[in-house]
This record gives sequence, C-alpha cells and structure tokens, in this order.
Amino acid sequence: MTQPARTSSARTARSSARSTARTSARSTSRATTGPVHVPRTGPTRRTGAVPSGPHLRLVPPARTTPTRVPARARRTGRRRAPFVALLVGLLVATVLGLLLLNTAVAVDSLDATQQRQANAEQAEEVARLEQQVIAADTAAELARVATAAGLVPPGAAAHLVLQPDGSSVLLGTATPAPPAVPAPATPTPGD
Amino acid sequence: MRRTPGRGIGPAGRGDLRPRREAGSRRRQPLGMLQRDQRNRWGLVFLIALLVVVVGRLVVLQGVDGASYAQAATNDRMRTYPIEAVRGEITDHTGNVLAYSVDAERVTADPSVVTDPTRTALALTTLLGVPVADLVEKLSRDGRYVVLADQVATDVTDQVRALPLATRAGLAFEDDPVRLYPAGAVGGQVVGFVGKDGGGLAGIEQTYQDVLAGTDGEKRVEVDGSGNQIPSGIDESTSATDGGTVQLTLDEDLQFVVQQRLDAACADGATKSASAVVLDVHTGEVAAMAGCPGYDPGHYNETDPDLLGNPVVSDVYEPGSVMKAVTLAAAIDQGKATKDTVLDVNGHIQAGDAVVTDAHDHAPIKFTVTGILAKSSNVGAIMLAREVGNSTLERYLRAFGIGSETGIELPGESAGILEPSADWTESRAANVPIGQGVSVTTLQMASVYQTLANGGVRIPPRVVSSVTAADGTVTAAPRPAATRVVSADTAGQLTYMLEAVVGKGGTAPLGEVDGFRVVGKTGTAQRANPDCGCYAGGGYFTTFVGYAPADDPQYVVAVDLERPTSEAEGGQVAAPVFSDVMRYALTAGGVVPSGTPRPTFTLQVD
Repeated sequence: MTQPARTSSARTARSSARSTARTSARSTSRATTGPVHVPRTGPTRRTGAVPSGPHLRLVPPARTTPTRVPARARRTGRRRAPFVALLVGLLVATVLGLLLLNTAVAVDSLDATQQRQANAEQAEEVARLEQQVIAADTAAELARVATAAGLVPPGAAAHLVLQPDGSSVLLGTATPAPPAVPAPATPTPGD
Repeated sequence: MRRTPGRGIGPAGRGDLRPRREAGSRRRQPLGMLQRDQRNRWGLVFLIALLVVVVGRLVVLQGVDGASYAQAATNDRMRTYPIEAVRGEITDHTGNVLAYSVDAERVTADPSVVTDPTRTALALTTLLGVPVADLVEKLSRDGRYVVLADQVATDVTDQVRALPLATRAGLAFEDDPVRLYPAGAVGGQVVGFVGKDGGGLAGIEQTYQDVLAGTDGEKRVEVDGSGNQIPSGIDESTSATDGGTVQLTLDEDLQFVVQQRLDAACADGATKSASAVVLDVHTGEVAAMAGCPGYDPGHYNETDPDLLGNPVVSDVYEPGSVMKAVTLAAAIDQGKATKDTVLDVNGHIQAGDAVVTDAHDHAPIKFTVTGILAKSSNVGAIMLAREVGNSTLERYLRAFGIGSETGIELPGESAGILEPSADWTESRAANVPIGQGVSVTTLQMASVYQTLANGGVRIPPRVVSSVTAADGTVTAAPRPAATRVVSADTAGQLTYMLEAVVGKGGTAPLGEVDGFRVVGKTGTAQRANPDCGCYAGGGYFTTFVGYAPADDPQYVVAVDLERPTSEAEGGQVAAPVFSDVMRYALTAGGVVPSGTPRPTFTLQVD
C-alpha cells in the first residue's frame, strides 16, 4: 500500500513540479518577450533553472503492513493474466501454424512426388507412342505396308506440256503400273 | 551434509549418534597458507590445461579440419544423381527422323544381396531375353556388381520393378539410353552410329558428336535420413542440356529408292560394291547418298567392320571417261576448241612408251568435239588435252575439286589422288585426261558435274542443312563459297555435248529418262587387280554421271559400280541405275519437262 502510494505521491509531486516549472517558464517568457506564440516548445526545458526544490520532499511511509507483498502480487497477477494468456495463445498459434505449414509442405511434397512420377510415366508413354509412329513412318516400312496392301510402285509418268499456242505435247510414255504381285512384302533393305 | 545413519554408526562404533567430530573440524590442523596456495595453483593449472585441451580441440575441429568436416557433413546429407542429356536427333530435310534416342535402362545386380539366384533368374529370363543359365551364373558370382542386360526398354524395367521384393532383391537400374535408327540401312552410312560409351563412331554421329551429345547435368539435393529429398532443402542441381537436332539435306524417300536400286544392282552377281549420290544442282546439297553393301547402324556390331564406312566419300576409283568432261571443259574454256570444232581423230595415239587406243581401234575419223565426247574417244580427248597443256589441265582439275576433299561433314573423306602435273610422265599425261591414273570419290565426280550443270559455278557438296539447339534456336549450317570454274558459255556447251551421249548415237542410250532431256557421261575404267597389282583381270569400275533436265538442270546423279568379274561398260550397267534414280528424283521433286526438243547433234563430218 505504501509503496504505490509513495510512488503516486512522488509522481504527483514531480508532475506538479513540472507544471510549476512550465508555468513559471511561461510566465517568465511572457514577461520578457511578450508574444505568446511559442509557449510549449524548447525554451521551457532549456531554462533549467526550475525551482523544483521546495516541491520534492520525502514522504514517510504511511503504514507498514506484512500483507503488502501478497497484495502487490495479487494486483500484478491480475494485470499479468491477459499477458500470459496472450503469450500462451501466441505460442499455441505458432505451434499450430507451424504444424499446419509443415503438413501443407509435406502434403505438397507428396503431391509433387506423385505428379512427378505420373509425369515421368506419361512421358514414357509418349516416347513409346512416338517410337511407334516413327517406326511406322519410315520409307521402308511404308513401302512394306503398301505392298502388303496390294499397292504397286507406279510406272513411268508421261507429261502433257501446254505449248504457247494452246496445243499440248505429250512427253514420255505413260506406263501402266505392273499388276500387284501377291508375293510377301518386298524385303526392306538392311533387313 | 546430512549423515546417513549407517555412516553415523559405523565409524563411531559406540552406538551413540554423537557427531564424530565437530562440524568444520575435519582437519585437525588447518592447511597452511603455502599448502593452500599450492593446491589452488595445481587446481588452476589442471583446469587451464583442460580448457586448453578443449579449446585446442575446438580450434583443430573448426579451424584446421573444419572444411573437411563440413564437407563430410554436407556429403552425408547431400545426394547427387546424374541427369543424362538426351542425345539429339538426326533428321532428313523434311524432318523424318533418321536417328533418335529413347530412355532405356541397364539392369544390374549385386550378387551378394540376391537371395535365390535361380528364382530371380527364372523371373528375369523372359523379361530380359537372357538365358537362365547366364543369369544364374552372373547372379552367383562373387562380387557386388554384374550387368544383367543393357538397354532394356523402360516398360520392361517397370515390369521388373513390379516383381515381388524377394525376387528382385539386389537388382538395380542405371540410365542407359538406346539409340534407334528407324530407317535402318536407309541413310545408315551417312548417319553413322554410336558406340557403347555414347560417342559417335561414324558418319554424322561422329562429326556432330559435340552438338548431338549435349551436356549432362546433375541433381544435387539435401536428403533426410531415409534418402528422401527434403522439400525446401538445399538444391544445387544443374540441369542437363539436351543435344541439338541435326537436320540433313537428305530426302528419306529418295534415299530409300537409291538404296533399293543399288541393292538390286549389287545382287546381280557381278557387282561387288556400288555407290551413288544425288546432288541438288543449285545448292550443292546432297539429296541422297548411298552405297551397297550398306549397313544398319542399329546393328553395326553385327556387321563386317570393313563395311562400316561410307564408300561415297572414302572409296576412290579411277573414273575413266567421265573425266573427259573436265578435259573438254578446259579446252573450250581456254578457247582451244568449241563444240563444233572438227578434229581428225585416229584410232590410237602414241603416249610416251605406251599407245592409247579408243575402245575399238579405227581408221581416222573427222570427229566434232561433240562427237569425241558422245563416242567417248580417248584419242580425241588426249589431243585436246595436249592443246591445253598439262599444267593448265591440272589447274582445271583442281578447280573442279579433283585431288582435294570436298569438305563435306562426314568423317573419313578421301581427297583422291592427283599427282602434280610436273611429275606426269608422257603416258600419265595421256591417261589423266581420260580418267586413268587419277583417283576420285563418287562425290567428287558428282561435284564436277554439278559445276557444269550450275553454269560453271562449283558449290562444294554439303549434307547438313541446319542444327537446332535444345532451346530451339536454329543455326543454318555454314555454306562454302561458290567458285566459278569455267564460264557459263563453256558450261552450256558441255551440257549440249553431254546430251549427245545419252540417247541415239551416244554411248548411253539406257541413261535416258522418258520425257526428260538427260545429260550425262559414261565411264568404264580398268580396275586394278589386287592380286597382281596390275590391270589384267581386275574387271572394271563402271560409272555414269549426269544431270537433268538439260535445259534447266535440277539434279546431278553419280553412280559407280565396282565389277571385278565383268566386261560390261558403264553405258550398259551404270546407266540404267542412273536412269531409275533420276526418274524418281525428277518425279518426286515435281520437276516438269519444258517440252523443248532435243537438239540434233553432228558427231562426225565426212
């Protein structure tokens, strides 16, 4: 009880001293310069010669009771409770947040791994299909399939060439394609 | 300070719980100042020594060995995986793939981990296509690494991975990409092949190794205790740069036709080997280049190593009469003759200690220069060469590219053989103008005719069109400078004269392509007999080189057949091959005849 009281009284004393100082400074500045447009700035502190002496005095302890410590603890305890709760809350929130983030990262990582794997599998599949396309697209393979389908290489082509006078000239002799041979596919070179 | 009852009773021994001595009176005599001081000092020394040891060790760990420990720690938690660059493709000029790489894996095993070799072998034998006995033997070896199969397709390795754990214990997989050549032997000699270590050993695979190979990368990541990558951990990966794609000037379809036609020629029983090349007249680009017997680059290791070259660029032969075009071009370009100049040509001519005759000796005939070429008169060509002079003739030969490499992007190119004219003997001076005593490659010969077809401007042949880097930037292959060898007028006269060769009255009626005006020259050169080092019984190199259409040349085709046992001439055996190839090239190339009539030629005057 005494301690806060002392403090508060000291504070009051100090503040009253300051206010006095201010007022006195104000009054002096007003006295010397007249204009009142700079009342609350620097000059108050710079003056220094504040007659604070008489306002400060030692206040004797009013009462000395053995209950002062529990009382103080109770009072500060009451003030600390929300702070502790806040800290605990923050801690819990942090832990939960971290846990959440960690889980999210782990889930994403797992997801990424799976997708990477799926991607690799699909890339392999694409490569496999491309391989089939390329293999079926070679000249030799086309020739083999065409022969198997009963197609034959064409005979020599003839050209009808238009002349400037409008007539046309047949160049070369069109040879009919030979009949399809029902033999097995022509061997492809290199096989 | 609290004394236990036992201790209290023991030393006192009298049962009373009286303290054995007064508190603080352990020493009957307090230590002297000196003694205390000494003990303190020793204690201090001991503590300082400990401190020095600890600090010293710390300094050693952190300062001296620090880097290596940090390194060891890093190594412990970092894993490095190689990322293999994918080798680039080789395509023809339309983008048809001639060579490409696909992912495959090498199946290896650690025999010390394999529990039951027989069971594992039985599971793998059908998948890998390796006999059970081989697998069992490999899996039972003493050692920690055996290769079970190379270049196994990924769908197969996926099946291996799906085997029960007990069966596949000890198996491991490594990247081992496989190089595929879908076109097989078509273009195989140009494309080349890749060795076991991934380095190109022939053809474009060899010359463009740096472009095709790319740069390997590595994945270097931080891992946890069980080897999984830690997300957001250290990642010092460098990505691989895949190889670039090399696009050739070849046309796969034309290449296929040429290869097929040559294979047919090689199968006639008399032809030991054959080669052919098709050039684009205006660019000097190789549209097709083939030889037989060819090889499939995918099975190069099953092929006779002697066949793993490219005969079109590396095999030389004496061209024979096709070289007369150069001789006559030199004579006309030097103003010594025109296509209509008449010469009195005897059936034979003295050349030093030898006598050179025409194919059939004859009484003197008044040949025009056109007639000399059309009838392939050796004597007439030698007479014109003497007009030109040896050194001038050599200059023309070299300008046409004889005796030097064309610089085509293929390995193992031969420059051929052309001695300096200063070293020519009388007989050599008579032989060179008619294509003996000088060696050329099929490609060089094609290049000579490309020059004539292109109005006298030579463009050295090239087979690579462009290189596409992995990032998509396309770099056109550098093109050599075109050089004028003979005047356009000379080239025109040569084209006129060479047209007389093909068709009625010439030596190669079989070289005709129906509907088109074809220009060409036969060659039949004696082949040196490897048994005696002489010409006797060596057979012939029969050649045909030509271009079409005569009034607007588009393609040059050179065909060369090596026929050790046959007496047939170029006009009989090489010309039909030329004709078939040229017909396809013209038809597929969309070339339409102009319809201009073939001129009439005056070959001899009475």
